[in-house]
Amino acid sequence: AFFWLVSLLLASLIWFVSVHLSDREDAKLQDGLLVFGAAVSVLLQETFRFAYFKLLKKADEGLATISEDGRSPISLRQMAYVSGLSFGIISGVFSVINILADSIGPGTVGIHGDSPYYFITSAFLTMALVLLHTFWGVIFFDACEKRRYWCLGLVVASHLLTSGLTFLNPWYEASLGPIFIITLSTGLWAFVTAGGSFRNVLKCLSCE
Amino acid sequence: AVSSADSCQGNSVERKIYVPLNKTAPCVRLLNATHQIGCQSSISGDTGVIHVVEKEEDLSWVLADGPHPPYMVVLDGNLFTRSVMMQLKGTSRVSGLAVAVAKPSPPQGFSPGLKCPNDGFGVYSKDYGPQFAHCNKTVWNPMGSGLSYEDFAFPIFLLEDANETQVIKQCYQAHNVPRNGSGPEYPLCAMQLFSHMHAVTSTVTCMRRSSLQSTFSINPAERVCGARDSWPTADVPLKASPLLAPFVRLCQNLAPPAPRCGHVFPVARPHLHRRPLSEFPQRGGRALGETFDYIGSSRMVYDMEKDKFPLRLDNIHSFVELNQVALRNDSTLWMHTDPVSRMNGSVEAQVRNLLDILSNSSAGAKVTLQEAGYSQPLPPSSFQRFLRARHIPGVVLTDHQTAFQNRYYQSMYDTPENIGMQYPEGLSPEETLEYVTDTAKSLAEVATVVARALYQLAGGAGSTSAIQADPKTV
Repeated sequence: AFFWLVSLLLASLIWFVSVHLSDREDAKLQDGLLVFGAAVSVLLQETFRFAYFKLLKKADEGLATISEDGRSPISLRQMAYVSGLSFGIISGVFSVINILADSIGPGTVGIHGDSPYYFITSAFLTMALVLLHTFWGVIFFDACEKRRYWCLGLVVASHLLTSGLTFLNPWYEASLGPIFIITLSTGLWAFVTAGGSFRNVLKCLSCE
Repeated sequence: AVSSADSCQGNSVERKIYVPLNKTAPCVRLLNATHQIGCQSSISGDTGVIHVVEKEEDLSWVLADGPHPPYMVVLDGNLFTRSVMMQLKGTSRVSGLAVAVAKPSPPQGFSPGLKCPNDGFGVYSKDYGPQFAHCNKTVWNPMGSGLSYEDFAFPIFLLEDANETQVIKQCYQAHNVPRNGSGPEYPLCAMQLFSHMHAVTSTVTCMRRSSLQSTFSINPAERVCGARDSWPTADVPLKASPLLAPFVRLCQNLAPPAPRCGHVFPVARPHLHRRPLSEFPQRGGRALGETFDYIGSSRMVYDMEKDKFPLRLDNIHSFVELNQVALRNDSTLWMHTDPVSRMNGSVEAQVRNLLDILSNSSAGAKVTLQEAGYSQPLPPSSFQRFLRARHIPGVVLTDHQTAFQNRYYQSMYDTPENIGMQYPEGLSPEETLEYVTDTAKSLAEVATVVARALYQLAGGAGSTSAIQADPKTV
């Protein structure tokens, strides 16, 4: 979570500096800068995810050396899951706390013509983001481990795509729909990467 | 929702939800020993669905028909009358009120004060001039509705900016108006008003808390009692000449609320040409808070009796008071005296002398002085508090013979425009300070007359024609 926060800090610094160096009055430029800022933020997040992977690898080796049977008590897959989940939680909290705080007060969105579904769609979007980060974590670490760089590229690309789709808000059909499709497919992919299969699911359900 | 508060509009989500109203003034709570008047909101503000009332028929939606109580009523300034307010006060379906200032001012007049201002605190009572008590002889403020002295359980705000009122009405039109026969559906346009008030139990507690607050600079915006020192110190005068015209508005201009402000209408000290100041030991006194049971002048009298004031009551030779003088008909200034004290021979002689000096001083000025006569009591004035202590000969100068000329007494419409102060278009604030309006000139005439009379009363010999008030200072 700390790594995610640092990546966000750096990304916001870059955006802030670029805004201050640019012409404030030009709305199109400011919109463009926002998209640029979002893209930089995605790339920085993935970079920090990679950095965290490196850190955990080192920690894994260290844990393996000091343990009794030569194997680390936590598998890399578990680390991948936890890392992804924490990235997702902090990202979700950051996105939604502000909105939650305003959703308590007696008013709702709409006085200037914005969509009244703002709060519920924000909630669904945050949920999708948390899940996506978890899945990306799993896929990312596995790809780094097995050096499948095309997987890495796909993860980054799908993160960029998700981020970009949010710019279509408040056209919620065009943004939320595809984002949920991406979430489902990434979930399935992560499941398969982690070693799951249809047979495992059946076995689990019949509690053998 | 539309909210009236002084919170800063921070993040973008808040900006999607709320529109702040900045140019507002809240109705504040005032307390005395026995009662409370005014209004306040709950601690976290009061919210309600907006309903715009522009004619009396619109009230029935608020009082009975509307399906989404409680309502926040946005009232047109011309409907801010006692009958409407009593209807709103009596119902639980109203959570607050915003009054849009009527532009132009209501032509029939508007006064939230009492019909008989400061009744019971002046000199006339069942023991002294009972035929004059309780405005039996003359109703001074016939327009008075007494709204200032009512106790409301919901917040009331004044909307001073017509543009903000228009924003509210547009929001109402867009969301709250019933369409196609059915009632309006959520989400509805609503308003939140914050005007929570604090008060204290007694004067002792109040003074202690105020001194703590000022010593430690706690919460400087909130004051629970103010204007304790209601007169500035003066040199040893021989003639007391209080210059005041009490002028208080129901709504204050500060939110969080300040206590009532006694507004003193400044009248220029006349320019005294070629007379050294040492000849005129007399100074003026100024009292604040006169609208509220004469607290200023009664404090002054009390201090005089207890020798805490530089002047003693016994040393007061005569009394000249300037009351409302701006709205004179045909430049006539009326001289009011107290008929009860004039029944005493010596007092009558001194009053007669005072009246004659005043009349002589008006020769050559564009002011006609007329006596109000024996049948009239004194209008509400600080002099009445002095009379309660001593039968001092005195005169109160006003622009009205019987009822007030000012139809907007103690109201938000009693503005410079009300007394005819018109500035030409396009003047900057510095230029308006230099510009001399006709009102200033006519008030300067009054000041000249008073100055000449005071000079003669002070024992000055010689002609007074050189004494002139400077309209620019006025």
